[in-house]
Amino acid sequence: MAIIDTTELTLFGLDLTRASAWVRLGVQQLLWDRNSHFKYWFYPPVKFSDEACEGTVPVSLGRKEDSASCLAILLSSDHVLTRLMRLPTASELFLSEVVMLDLSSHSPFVEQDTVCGWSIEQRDDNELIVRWVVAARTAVNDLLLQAGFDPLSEVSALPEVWANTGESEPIRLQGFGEQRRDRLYTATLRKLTLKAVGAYILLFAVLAQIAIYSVLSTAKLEQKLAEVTEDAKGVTWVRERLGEQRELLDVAQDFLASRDPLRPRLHDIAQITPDSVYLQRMTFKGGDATVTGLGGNAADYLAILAESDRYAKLEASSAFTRDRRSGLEQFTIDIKFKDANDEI
Amino acid sequence: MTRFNYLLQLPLQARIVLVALIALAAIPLFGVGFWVIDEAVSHLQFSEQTKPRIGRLLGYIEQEKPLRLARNQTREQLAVLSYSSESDASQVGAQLQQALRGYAEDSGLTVSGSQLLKSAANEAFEGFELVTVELNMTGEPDAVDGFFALVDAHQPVLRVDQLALAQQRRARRSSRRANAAELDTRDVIMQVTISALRVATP
Repeated sequence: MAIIDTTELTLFGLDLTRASAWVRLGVQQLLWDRNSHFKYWFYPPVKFSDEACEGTVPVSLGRKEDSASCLAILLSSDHVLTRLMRLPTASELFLSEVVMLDLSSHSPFVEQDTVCGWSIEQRDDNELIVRWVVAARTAVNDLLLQAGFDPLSEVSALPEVWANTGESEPIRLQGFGEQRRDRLYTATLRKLTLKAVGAYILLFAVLAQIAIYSVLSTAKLEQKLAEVTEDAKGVTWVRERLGEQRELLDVAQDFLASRDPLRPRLHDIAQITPDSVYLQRMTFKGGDATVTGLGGNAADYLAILAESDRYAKLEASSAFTRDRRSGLEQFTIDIKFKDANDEI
Repeated sequence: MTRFNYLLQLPLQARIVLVALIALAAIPLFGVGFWVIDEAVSHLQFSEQTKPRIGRLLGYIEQEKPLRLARNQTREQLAVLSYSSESDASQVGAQLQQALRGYAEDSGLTVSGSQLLKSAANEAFEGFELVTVELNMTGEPDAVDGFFALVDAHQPVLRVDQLALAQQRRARRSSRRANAAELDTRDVIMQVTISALRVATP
């Protein structure tokens, strides 16, 4: 049997074996490391079968509770051989194989009569300090018998066996009741994972529900808008034309307001002008007019116009001159009319 | 122990796996979350814009009859103030010239000339074209009044932009008395510029 698993894992020709081992190690550390919170919270508690053996329960071996269903017994350091290994951190990927190799080469016991265990005591960036313990199976069996257990019974009926190293925390020996606690822990983690995945999926479902509701509502609203737009096509056209026509009407009203009341102005001038005054030329543009004519006394005529109070401004644009032929005074008067609204 | 310290105490591989797991869970969650928020916000915006629009359109449908009535009334009012865009500008100009010549004849004026002018560039009525006609006429002063009475009554409304009235010149005579009599009875020459609005072709 090969000590190290050499199964190759490839993806598109890339060798993923090392990456896969690396990830497996990460998961193992996350769940089984002495600093793991998962282990702290969910690893089942343990109690000692012999109260006299009670000491400090190592962090790496879980919490101690008197009501715990899992039992442990403590093997005295007198029956245990221990060794400290200093390894490069990279060797953690294949730590069990390395430890077993070292252990087999240093154990004084024959293989069938050997029980062992190991734990990582310290880990830093460069170095890994691992302690392994080894004991004779007969010594452990004697201890089990003393504690009232049959060493020949099934593993699941046996308690955990911890070996006191005398130098550091006790180390759990493999091949006894520890599998029961590990199985319970794994089952708890599996349940928790399933619950977390369920909650995660539920969360997605709730979020998707909101999104689907939004999408459906938008589609419904779009459909309604399309229907109403179709129904209102004719009336919308009428409404738009009405708006356009109202705008045009406003502009046309401005045109209407810009008209000068020419006819009343002509009437006014005709009415005010005495028979002795002869108008030769009149021009109207905007709110102004220029009147040219002949009269017996042009100044009197100007005064008559001014007295009528119908004009904003009156001005003789040139001097009054006597027309030799008619003997009348020739005049040119510029008239500025009052605002059309004031006038009428 | 804070969560961050806990993360730092974990071995490197465990840290990376934990961060990767959190990222794997968070990325789709954030993606879906943003999608949901985007959809919800889009829906709200669309709804805010669309609901009043639907309400307005339903209101139009309900008010179709009054709207059609109002449109007809506005169209009639507009017809009083301007020529429609159905005829082109030159046709309207010709029509206006013809009408004005008719008014001149009806009121006893003799038309010596008329022409369609280009509208003044400094005066703009948005949505309209200004159709301007210049007329040269002669006749008695009373006929001038009659002509303007007809112009005022014309539909669409007309605007007199410019008017020049002058006595018609005759051969010179020396006598003062004869001159005064002449001044009383002379015909007038009239040059008038008249404008009308025509709805511009869109």
